[in-house]
Amino acid sequence: MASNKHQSLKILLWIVAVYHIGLGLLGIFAKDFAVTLAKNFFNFNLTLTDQTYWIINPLAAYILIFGVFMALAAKDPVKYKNVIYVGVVLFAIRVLQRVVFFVTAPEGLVSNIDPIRNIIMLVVVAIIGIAMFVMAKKVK
Amino acid sequence: MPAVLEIATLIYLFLFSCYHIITGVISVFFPNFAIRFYKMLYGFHPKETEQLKMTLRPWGNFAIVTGVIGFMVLYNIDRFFLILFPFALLLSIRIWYRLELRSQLYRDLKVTKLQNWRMIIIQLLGAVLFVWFAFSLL
Repeated sequence: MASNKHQSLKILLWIVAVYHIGLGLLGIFAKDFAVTLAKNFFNFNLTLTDQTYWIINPLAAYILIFGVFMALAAKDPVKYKNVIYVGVVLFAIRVLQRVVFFVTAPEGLVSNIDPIRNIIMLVVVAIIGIAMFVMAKKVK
Repeated sequence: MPAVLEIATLIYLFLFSCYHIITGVISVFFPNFAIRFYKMLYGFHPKETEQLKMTLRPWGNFAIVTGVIGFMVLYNIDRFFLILFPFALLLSIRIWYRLELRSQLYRDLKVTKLQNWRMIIIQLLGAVLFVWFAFSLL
């Protein structure tokens, strides 16, 4: 019974974990694909130069490790409840930054993908963050 | 685990957490200063900075998260010691790409061999201490 107690939260955390681990691995091992990832997931026109080829590495490593933190939390949400809250804060910052990016980023750096798609992604990230927060609050 | 290594691990974890919060905050909020700071710390001399600044922001978010979780581990290490394994993995990945892409690092970012090896040794020390400490608590 106890293991089924936080099933929805665990499923959500596993999705977040697999997504970040996958994104991190692609950033480390498939850098050519990173341009597509940056465009679709961060709305950022990345030009793959020798310099950016190097700079993607730390970002990808930290994305991957965040996925591992979420996997640990998915294994035991009670023990790692505070880690989940840290993840929620990250999601909130990402939503805010995405909005700020639209407003302040130089035109050439913003990718030209559909603005409706951007808004949908923003809403999805916000919903995941809120769902994590609400479900984590119920964890005892 | 000998007491001296235990203390060394805790000091390393404290500095590791501080490093991530400080660099994360300056990367997110003060990207121009962050570039100057990384030049000083790592010896990086980037040619192009606009894309770099845009990459620093998402990186900074994840760095802050890593630092905050580091302090959580430090506060209650008996409860959260398993997190030391992902920390060691993070340091290992950083060592790996510093070795794998070292010629690019020297050529494109003008980092010297001494600066690169200094960072590799610091990161290797952390990875070893974290794994050792975590295994001692298993």
